[in-house]
Amino acid sequence: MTTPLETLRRLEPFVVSAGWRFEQLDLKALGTTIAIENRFDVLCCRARGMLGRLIRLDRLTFGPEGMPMPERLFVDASALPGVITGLGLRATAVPEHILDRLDMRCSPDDLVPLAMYIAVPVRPPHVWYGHNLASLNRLVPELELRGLATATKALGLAVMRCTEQLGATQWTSPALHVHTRFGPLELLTAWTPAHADSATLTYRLRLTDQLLVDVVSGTARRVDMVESELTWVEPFDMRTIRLLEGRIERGERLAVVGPPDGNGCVPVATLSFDQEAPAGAPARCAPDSPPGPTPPNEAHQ
Amino acid sequence: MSAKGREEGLDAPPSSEAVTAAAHHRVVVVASPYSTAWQAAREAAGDHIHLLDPMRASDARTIGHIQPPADAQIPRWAVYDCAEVPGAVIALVHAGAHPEGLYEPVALLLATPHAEVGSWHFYGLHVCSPVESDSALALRLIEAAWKLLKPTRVTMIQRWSCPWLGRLAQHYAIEVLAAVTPLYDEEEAATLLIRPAQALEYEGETHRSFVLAHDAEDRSVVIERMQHELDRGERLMLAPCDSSSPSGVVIREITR
Repeated sequence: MTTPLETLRRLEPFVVSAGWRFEQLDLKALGTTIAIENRFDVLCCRARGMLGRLIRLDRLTFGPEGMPMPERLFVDASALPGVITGLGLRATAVPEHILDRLDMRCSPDDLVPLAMYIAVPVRPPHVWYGHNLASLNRLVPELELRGLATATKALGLAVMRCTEQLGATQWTSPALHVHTRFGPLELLTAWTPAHADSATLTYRLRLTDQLLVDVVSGTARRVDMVESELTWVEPFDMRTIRLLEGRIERGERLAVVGPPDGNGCVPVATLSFDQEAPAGAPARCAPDSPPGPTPPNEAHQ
Repeated sequence: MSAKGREEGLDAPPSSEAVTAAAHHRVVVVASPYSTAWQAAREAAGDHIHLLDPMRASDARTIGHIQPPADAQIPRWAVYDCAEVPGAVIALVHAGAHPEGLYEPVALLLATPHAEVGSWHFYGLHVCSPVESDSALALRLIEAAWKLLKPTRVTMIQRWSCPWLGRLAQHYAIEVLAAVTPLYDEEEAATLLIRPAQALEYEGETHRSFVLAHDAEDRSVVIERMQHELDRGERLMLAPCDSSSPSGVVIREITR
């Protein structure tokens, strides 16, 4: 079975960001090297073509769901303060009928992006918020790019030297299958009326270099949970989801500990307290109580 | 540079009073506990700042009224994902009572931290007041955001036709990173790097280079020339506007 690592090695990695940022990124992450021609300074005219193709990638992925990202946010809320990374193929290596299907305008030497991951900083330099994971895998099944989304996210987190990743997704989202490969998703919210979709969960992942290697290699261990310790959350059970939110706001630490099952039900459990305190951010506070001290970030070796 | 700009050095300790906007405005900050803006707002807290948490369900109704307008094309999920949780939404509202505790901002902007510590990107700036000028409100909002976050540098993407750019340059050192910004072509927008006014003291000599009048027919040509100079490695700074300036902006090239 093809692992994400094998898919990673078949494709060309790229990065789009502010040019002054490249030297602080890991451009040789996970055994790959982002070639100089695949590093795009978002403020240079050379990035225009690539930005156009990334916009097309986003439309193909999220257009059917009704949540495409407005074009200018690829600059304002992505590549200028943060980083866009991804994987692609040189146009000459992509069969003509696939290029037609994707309707991506490019010259033979251009890089055709097939997946991307976008994150902005939360607490620089190592705490990031991932807000876009897009993959064309379902549109190009003949390329047999198994684990493309997993490889793309792992690469992005490694390039950004991320040790703590925040993000949000819906209880019904198939992306939970990808995110849970990286470990338990500590729930920061379960019910989020401030988001476009209230049935959105906000999560936090803690990461190490070795974990990212294990994820792409397909050797990362899932959390072993006793069935009786699990709450299986049905994705449209708003009452249970809102009760979870109440528990979180009262200080309980809960996590999604595995992918959804065949019925879309999501396993949730209490986080064990033998895990390290999160690095780089204060613990959630009860109303009107002062924040605790911010612990130093010691997770990144 | 104005005396005000020179007095507000990087080493000057901020005060909670300094974060307050004009007496008839209040600052509202929407930021998660994970954002450094949240910590900054708590340190500056008092009666002058209202801090809202997008991760607290009970704050959602109030936050729903502190959003960019529809024509800003920043969807709700993007405000949450790209500003409220990792950074902040910073707004000015009238200081008086608000029906049902719901605010109607007169000005707001989104702020996302850069990957470099101490740097921020401001965007989605919107002003709406039937009483005060857009320019005055925009400058007041930027000042409030600056004093809250205490950044070492801020980037913004602004149209060259923006009426308050010259006035902003009276208080900050503003360098042009890009005269033409990708995906902003229709608006002729520049990417600007904004630093404390003292930063200009450490630059080289300047001389007058470009005048970009709002109603000039050759605007596009001037903008292209500026971008050409930037591509050659030259550095351009906005000059503070004064009474003799035309209706537009003056951009000076820094010589070393």
